[in-house]
Amino acid sequence: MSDLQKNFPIEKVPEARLLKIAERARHTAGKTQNRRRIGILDIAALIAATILGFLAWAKYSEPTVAKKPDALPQVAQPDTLRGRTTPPTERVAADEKEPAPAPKPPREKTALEKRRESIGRALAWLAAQQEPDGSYDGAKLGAKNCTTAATALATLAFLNAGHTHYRGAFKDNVKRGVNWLLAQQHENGKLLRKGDADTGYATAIATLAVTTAAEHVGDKDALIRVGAQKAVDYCANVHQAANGGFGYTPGPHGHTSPMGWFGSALYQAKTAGLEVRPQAFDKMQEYLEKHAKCKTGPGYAYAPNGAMSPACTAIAHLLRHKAGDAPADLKDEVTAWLERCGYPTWKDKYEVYRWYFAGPAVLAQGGDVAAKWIAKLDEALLTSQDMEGDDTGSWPNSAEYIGMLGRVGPTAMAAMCLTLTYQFESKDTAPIDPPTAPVQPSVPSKTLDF
Amino acid sequence: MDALQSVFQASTADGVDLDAVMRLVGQELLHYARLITGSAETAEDAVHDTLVALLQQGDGARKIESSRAWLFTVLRRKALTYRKRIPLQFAAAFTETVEGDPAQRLILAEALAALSQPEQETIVLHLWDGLTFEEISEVLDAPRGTILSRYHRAVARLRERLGGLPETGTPVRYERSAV
Repeated sequence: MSDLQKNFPIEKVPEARLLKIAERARHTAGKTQNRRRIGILDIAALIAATILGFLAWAKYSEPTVAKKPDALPQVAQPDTLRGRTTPPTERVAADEKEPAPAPKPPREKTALEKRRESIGRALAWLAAQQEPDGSYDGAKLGAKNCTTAATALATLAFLNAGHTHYRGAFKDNVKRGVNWLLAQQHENGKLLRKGDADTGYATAIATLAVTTAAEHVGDKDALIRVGAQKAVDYCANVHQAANGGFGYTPGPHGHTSPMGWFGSALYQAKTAGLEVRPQAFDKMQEYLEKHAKCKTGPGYAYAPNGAMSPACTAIAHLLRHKAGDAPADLKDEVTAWLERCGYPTWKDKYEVYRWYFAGPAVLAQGGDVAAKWIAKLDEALLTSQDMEGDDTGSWPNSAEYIGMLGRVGPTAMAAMCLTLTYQFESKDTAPIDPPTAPVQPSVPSKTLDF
Repeated sequence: MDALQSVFQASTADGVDLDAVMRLVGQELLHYARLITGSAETAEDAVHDTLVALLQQGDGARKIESSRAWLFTVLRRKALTYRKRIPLQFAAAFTETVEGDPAQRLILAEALAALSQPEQETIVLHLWDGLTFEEISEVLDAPRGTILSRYHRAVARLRERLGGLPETGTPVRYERSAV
């Protein structure tokens, strides 16, 4: 029973019957319109009679004092006149509305406020999924060997939204997440829970999370900095391939895709004041230029001599942006990418993974390009966030690539995409807390209970 | 442009071409109305009322951005007024509106009955009545993410009972000609 609608098609009603309903509707509408025309004539006649009556009364009354306009007697409107001045089409629209008077609508929230609330809801949902030990249990997410990746992504979402070990409503979640990640560290510095899929991604995302935490704790927590430094050393000295890229496992041939996370972690380590051998950055840029760049047109491929990949091109733009390429130097390539891949748009298999990597280089372009990116991202994500039941605040797991981490992966990445645009526009890096008021849809739900 | 949207776009002061509308989505409208009202006759009345409301829009129908969502939204409201206080037997009514092996229809009805009403409605609107998640979100006035999660939850629960089911995505939209 793989195709319900084919096995159980709708029982067809003969077309003649359908057309009969249409005919009946035309007949009814015709009668309604006639009735309304008569109604309007009636109204006109009544109004005319009332005015004439009033004029007659005014003429024959003895005027002792000049009447002020506001002292004129009010002509009572018969019930039959009420609402009859509305044009027929508007009356129909009014008929469609709920009978109860609409409450005064609250002030429309600004786009920034809506985005901030959406991020807060997402973080609250993520916090609710965290295990007491700080991890995000892959088995519960439907991906039993992805606990490290899920924990790292969720922790990163808190950190990016301004929560650290010392501040924000989710500081405890950050602390537990980072501690759990560091507890998984291998002797050689690699961050990966035993039993998790060893494809490089989890290790790289975990390194990005702990290096981000290291930046925030500064010198206050030596253990975190030591752990983060070991993780960075593993990435740069062991995992990076000879060609400058990063493979699933250490080896001579690296790819562009894992490099998105590894490269981000290394640049973040630099920002955090950790040691990274300079050659690691040079080799990455060399890899992008020599191996990943498409030979046949703009864009970057997943592997040398491959076809253009939207996600890998976004990764390359991000790493060049982090390397210090000016927006003007990236302008043509970012424009070409946007023309080919488009601005964020919601679809069932939504592309939040590539939006995360593309965001910084696109926003750096500023002007209309950045404004459109922000607006389209809001449109795609704010309207698709779940607002019902236990899933409130999360996004569906149907996202491209990252949906394999259940709802945690897409929710963390969507929150990070929105956080980036929120901070870009507001310049506010204070922790984004969950909305204090209970979650209310902007329009009262018309869904009736059955 | 979607054929139905084209019909709306071509509306004149006399209204939309109702025959074309019924040829394109009449089956789905009747099906949905029947699930809500529980009766074939009342379903016809609800569809009739919806068409009257549409005609009364005159050429204003051109401004309706999502024709399918508009029709199902108005139909839902009309059908619910007919239903009044009669308890809705959504899943039971469903088996009467589809073809297929009677025994299997019963199993399907039981599986549907185990879902919440909003989940049942989402599943039926998407899989049988051909609405996209965007359109369902408009009809049921719920965020798209909520609709998606309802759908995924419902599919997971149906799969437990029935076996394989389509993941998500393209609804079956019956490609019928308007003329």
